[in-house]
Amino acid sequence: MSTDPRIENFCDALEQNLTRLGVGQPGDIVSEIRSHLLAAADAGALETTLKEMGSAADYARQFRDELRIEDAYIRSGPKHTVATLILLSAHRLGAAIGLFFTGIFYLTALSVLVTIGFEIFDPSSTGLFTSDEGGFFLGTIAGDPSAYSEHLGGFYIPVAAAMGMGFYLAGGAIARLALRMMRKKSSRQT
Amino acid sequence: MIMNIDSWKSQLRKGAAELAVLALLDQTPSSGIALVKRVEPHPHIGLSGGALYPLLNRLEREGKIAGRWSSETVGRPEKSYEVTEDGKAWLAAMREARTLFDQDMNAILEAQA
Repeated sequence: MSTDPRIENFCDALEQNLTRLGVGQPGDIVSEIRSHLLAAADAGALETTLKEMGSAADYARQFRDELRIEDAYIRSGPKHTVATLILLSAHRLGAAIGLFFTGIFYLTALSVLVTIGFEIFDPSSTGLFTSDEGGFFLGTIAGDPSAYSEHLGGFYIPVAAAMGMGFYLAGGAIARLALRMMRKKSSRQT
Repeated sequence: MIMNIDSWKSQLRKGAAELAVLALLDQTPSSGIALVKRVEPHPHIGLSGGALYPLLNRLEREGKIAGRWSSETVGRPEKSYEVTEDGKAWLAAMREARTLFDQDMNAILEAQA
């Protein structure tokens, strides 16, 4: 049986990275990988096998990402998708971009829905406003609303609710798209 | 026009890897090392040793497979995996979905030919 120092170096680094990333049972995973590397060494294929696995840090991330991405993709709720994108955005550009646009859409949805509350308590300041100069604004005006014409009236609440839902669904779709791209990328390592 | 067949292949392989691993383990419980050897004759599945262990780890956590350590190989313990009852049900559903997908896809491709 081979005792190539590269095996222990890789396994030590892998265990440290799995622990750091919060992947459960790192000892169990490392024991299995050690067996795999010992078998590869016995077959004279250690160099190729280590190259295939990449750095211990990257390989540890594959375990974490395999669990996270698949879990978020299956559950598909905003909590899981956003949490996964936040977690992965530190080292994956796709996650960072997805998180950015998902955040914009979710925040827009939230702000539109908040204006429904303003419409209930202060309807004269909330609505779809246009000015004589041709500008328009949807939401709540802080200043004097009499300088603008309001168009939606009592229809503001259903329109804002539909818009809020639209932005929410679009944000979710972007998050799913980002996860799908990362799934694709992780399968490329397969 | 951008044509990246590798990217398309990788999409195709993602679900296939899980199906292949579950089907192989359903036929015969195996260790990771044995599984790598069993998929070697099927390079188009695209499942390398490096990618196999994260997949096995996920399937075990999802309860689709169960791992058990053995020390049959002298000095080198191995973890052998078998498909659980939940995994068998999942595999049956995957097989059915795959069959229906293949039927429809073949019908489209044959009609085109």
